[in-house]
Amino acid sequence: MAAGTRGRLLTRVLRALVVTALLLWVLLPFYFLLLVALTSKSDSLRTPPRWIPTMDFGSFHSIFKSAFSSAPPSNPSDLILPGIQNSAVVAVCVAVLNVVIGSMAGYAFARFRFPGSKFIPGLMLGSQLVPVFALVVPFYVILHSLRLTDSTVGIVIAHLSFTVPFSVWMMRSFFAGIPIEVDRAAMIDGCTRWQVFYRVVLPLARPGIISVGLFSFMVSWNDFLFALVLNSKTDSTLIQPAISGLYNVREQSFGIMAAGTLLAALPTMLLALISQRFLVRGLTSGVGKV
Amino acid sequence: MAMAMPALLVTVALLAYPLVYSFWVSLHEQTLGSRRPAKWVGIDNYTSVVTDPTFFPSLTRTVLFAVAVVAGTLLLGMTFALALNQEFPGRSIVRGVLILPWSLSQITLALTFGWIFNSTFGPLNGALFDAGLIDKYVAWFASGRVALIVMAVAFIWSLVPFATLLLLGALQTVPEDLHKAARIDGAGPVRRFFFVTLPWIRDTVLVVAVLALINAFLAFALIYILTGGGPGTETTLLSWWGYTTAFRDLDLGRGAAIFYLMTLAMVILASLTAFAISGRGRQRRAA
Repeated sequence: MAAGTRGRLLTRVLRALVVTALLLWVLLPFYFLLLVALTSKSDSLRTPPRWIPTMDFGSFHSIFKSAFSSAPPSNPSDLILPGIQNSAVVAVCVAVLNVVIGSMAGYAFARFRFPGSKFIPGLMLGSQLVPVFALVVPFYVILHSLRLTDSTVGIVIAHLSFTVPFSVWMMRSFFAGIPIEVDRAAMIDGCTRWQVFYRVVLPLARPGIISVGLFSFMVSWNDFLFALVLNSKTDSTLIQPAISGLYNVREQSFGIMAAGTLLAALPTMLLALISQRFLVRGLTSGVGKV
Repeated sequence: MAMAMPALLVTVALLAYPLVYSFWVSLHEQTLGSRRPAKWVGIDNYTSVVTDPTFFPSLTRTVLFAVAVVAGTLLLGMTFALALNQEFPGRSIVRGVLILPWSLSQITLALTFGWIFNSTFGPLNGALFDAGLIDKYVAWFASGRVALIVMAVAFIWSLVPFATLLLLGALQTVPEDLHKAARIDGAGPVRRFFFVTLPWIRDTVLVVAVLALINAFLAFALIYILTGGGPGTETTLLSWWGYTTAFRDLDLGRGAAIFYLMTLAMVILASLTAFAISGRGRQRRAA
């Protein structure tokens, strides 16, 4: 009995240690970013560093200052807010198109039988293995010849290439989880196929739609390679290339770098926190059926 | 059928066609920005890539990097998942923050770890120095090997929480009866983990491993920000080599050839992983 309680105590201590390690592992890098973002430049260059932020908002201030001046961007931090704006437009377009295209195709693959209706979804999941690097050369050549580089349309098209297949796969598994009797009952009540989809099944698949929208938004927002290669001009720059210019060891403006990083990561971090159950469920929708 | 058309069109036009097209490019001599039409060179690009002195070292580095990322992600992810699989106060909060690192882009990851490992002002050196563990600041990015380890740590950091969530989801499906039966048969916690839990969640382990593998092969932004492939070519992975060949040396055909070889290496490694994880699991189940 005594050995049992001692064993249980040991388990609890061990678990507390592992959980503490996990929390530190996850949160420390964020703390280090926040620390330097909220420290004045001179304080950030002290060795060894201060461990408590001095609550100096100078870095954020200098990022936002350029948004309200009409002067052309002169240093990398001036591109952060325009980058966020451009990326927001692109990512919202990508998310909306993924929801529309993905839910239509997902419904078709879940409900109808036609040549390829079985193996095409598997192929779409498999396409996730294709590294985006294999796509970036052809996209550059094609979009360049169509004069669609440095345009919103071009980059949205490029982002659709690697988001749509996964969205179709995810929506298919969500629709497959809705009993077909729902469709039949609605048809008996006089709905057309289209009405069944639009009025009855689609509202039931709302968790799937949220997952697909969020996921494709995040993929588009976080893309660096295509944004770098396709939208290289300053006024079409997206957020990831915009902040990539902040890493300049010689300038030693670590506060601005950290503040820009946090601003760029804020949208996806908030979305992920708010909607984590949708994301996890959506991303695991294929697991176990592979 | 008609409803699937937009998706099929997108997939064929934006995925299948570019893939075929980039294969076509890889068989030609094509320079970015030149007006001359592409010249057919057959497999010359591939032979020149494979015989390049950069090729084998980059391939080896890429594979080692990927293996390290997969192993680290699985080990830490499994440890954390096992801890979170038990009831304790505050568990849902811990689970909540887990998603945060996964939501970051590779660029934000690179900037964050570039700052933490900054050799002069970074908090890691400062902390190690304050704790008395080092008496001189360490130049983390001066040696290629250490720089690669730092980048692998950054990757593992961003992948572990997500791996934990996936593995935790799988752990919760392991039937309690199996564990009870094994306990009655006298199996300790370690044996129960290897012979009951692990075979049961094998598919999820495989998914996590393959996801980590794909991500490790796509490590590009980290190199772009942190090392530029150097010192020398010591941190040049295939992805970085392909990018610089295509977009810095403007040699599209050769760049495309590198990307195809990289894809091939990734598919082989993914198949090996699948074989190792599910093959061995099946044997164990049969035994």
